Amino acid sequence: MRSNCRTAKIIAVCLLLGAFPILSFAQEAKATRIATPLSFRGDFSAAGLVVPSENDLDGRPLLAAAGLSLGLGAELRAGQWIPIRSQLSYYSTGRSAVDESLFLYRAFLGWRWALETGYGFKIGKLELDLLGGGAISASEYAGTALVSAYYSLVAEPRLLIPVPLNKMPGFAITASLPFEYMWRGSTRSFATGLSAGVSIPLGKGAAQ
Amino acid sequence: MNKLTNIITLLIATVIALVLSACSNITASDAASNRYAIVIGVGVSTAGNCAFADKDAYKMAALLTTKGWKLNATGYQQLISSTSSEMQTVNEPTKTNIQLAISGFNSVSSDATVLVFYSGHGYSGNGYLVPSDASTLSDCISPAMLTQWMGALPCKNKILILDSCYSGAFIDTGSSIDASPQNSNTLSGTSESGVFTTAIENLSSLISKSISEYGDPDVLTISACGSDEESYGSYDLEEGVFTYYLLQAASSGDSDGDGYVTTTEAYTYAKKRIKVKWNTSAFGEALLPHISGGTGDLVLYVNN
Repeated sequence: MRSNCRTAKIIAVCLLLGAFPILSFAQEAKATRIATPLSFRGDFSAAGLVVPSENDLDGRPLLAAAGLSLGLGAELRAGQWIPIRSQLSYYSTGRSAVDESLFLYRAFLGWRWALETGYGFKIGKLELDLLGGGAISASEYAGTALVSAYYSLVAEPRLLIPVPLNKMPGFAITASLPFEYMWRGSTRSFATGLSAGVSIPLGKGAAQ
Repeated sequence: MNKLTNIITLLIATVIALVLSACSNITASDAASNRYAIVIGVGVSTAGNCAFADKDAYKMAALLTTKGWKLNATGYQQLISSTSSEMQTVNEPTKTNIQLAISGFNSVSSDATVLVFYSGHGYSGNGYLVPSDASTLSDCISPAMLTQWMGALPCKNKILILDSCYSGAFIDTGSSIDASPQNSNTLSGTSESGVFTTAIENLSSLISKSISEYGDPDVLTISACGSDEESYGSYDLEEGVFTYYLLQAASSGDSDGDGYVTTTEAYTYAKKRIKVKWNTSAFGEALLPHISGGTGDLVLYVNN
């Protein structure tokens, strides 16, 4: 019951994150009635993560682990709105801290595919994107041939810092705080941390 | 801009605090004191003697004692049958005695750990454990039976180590799929199924297991071999092959150097050594250890 309440809260937060940009876009579109230019951006990022896990069903405690991920993303932009963003990541989470009874959560690593939507807010020359969505991951427990798959909810505030480069207009550095909530059987894992990367426009006339 | 800077600084500080808290860990000296082991070696049985099972058990008992496991809490934790003049029979490992030994921990606390180690015969085809008084299949110990005995223990932490033929039959993979074959003779060279390929091929069933809140297996189990293959003893090593490398893992299996050798680390070490040292020259006697699924792990050896 406790686990379901927590899950419901997480879903509510992610819906809020996802609903806000949609409402903002609708308001802006209604106000301006200007044709929204479409563009594409690609990005590469690396993140350092802290990943606490808990298993209420089996009476296991909350124990944290360290992790990292490398991601490759692509997104469609319609003005300030990001209707869809896809990211493929490779991640590795180490074994957790050890509790008093010498129990711990195993290290796991694998691939994750996320689909998100979001909205960008201009802050001077910078842009703050609010992204949210879902992901599916395939993982193995480190040192074994045991394979698992699980789904998760993801959210991410991301800062785009434009860097003027003559040969690559529209180039930007990204800094973000990724959040992920994972359903791994009866174990729940939550990942957060710091991510940094680069973002470039894709295709003609996409610099923005 | 100042407000934004302050917000970003606060968020970064929060993340750093989380990272630092994640780094907290108990020291080796804080290791749990309520860890109990039952060591079973069926070197002599009605069904036929098993070479090196007695030696496996004695060596494992000696090592576990040095690593903080208690083997004298009930006086009934070593059940070893032997014909060797150097090793005595201790508490005949009959089916009844094995059950009594396990049920002797029915009143331990919930944060205790109980480990059961077995070296001996596994019944052909189904992996049933063969006690010293077994002469028919009904005298043997099935996976369901052993799961029931260990499942009745009040402690959350349970480890089962099996060095016997077809012992992969005792492995519960939980919400995972084991990409290792149950008979290593089907392997091409020494490589197992591609993990990523296995995940993609079974994605829908793996996701549904994840959604259904599949709990971790009740007992963390490592087996010497798959459910369709035999385990072996070595006259060169003078021990069961799996047990030999599992014992070696105590000093060489700490892959992250944190002073703890977890059950998964010990399994990984033993499996790698078996693949490289034994299987490459086994001439039809290859074996591949297996481990149970689940997100949890337990420390097997504490190195102070």
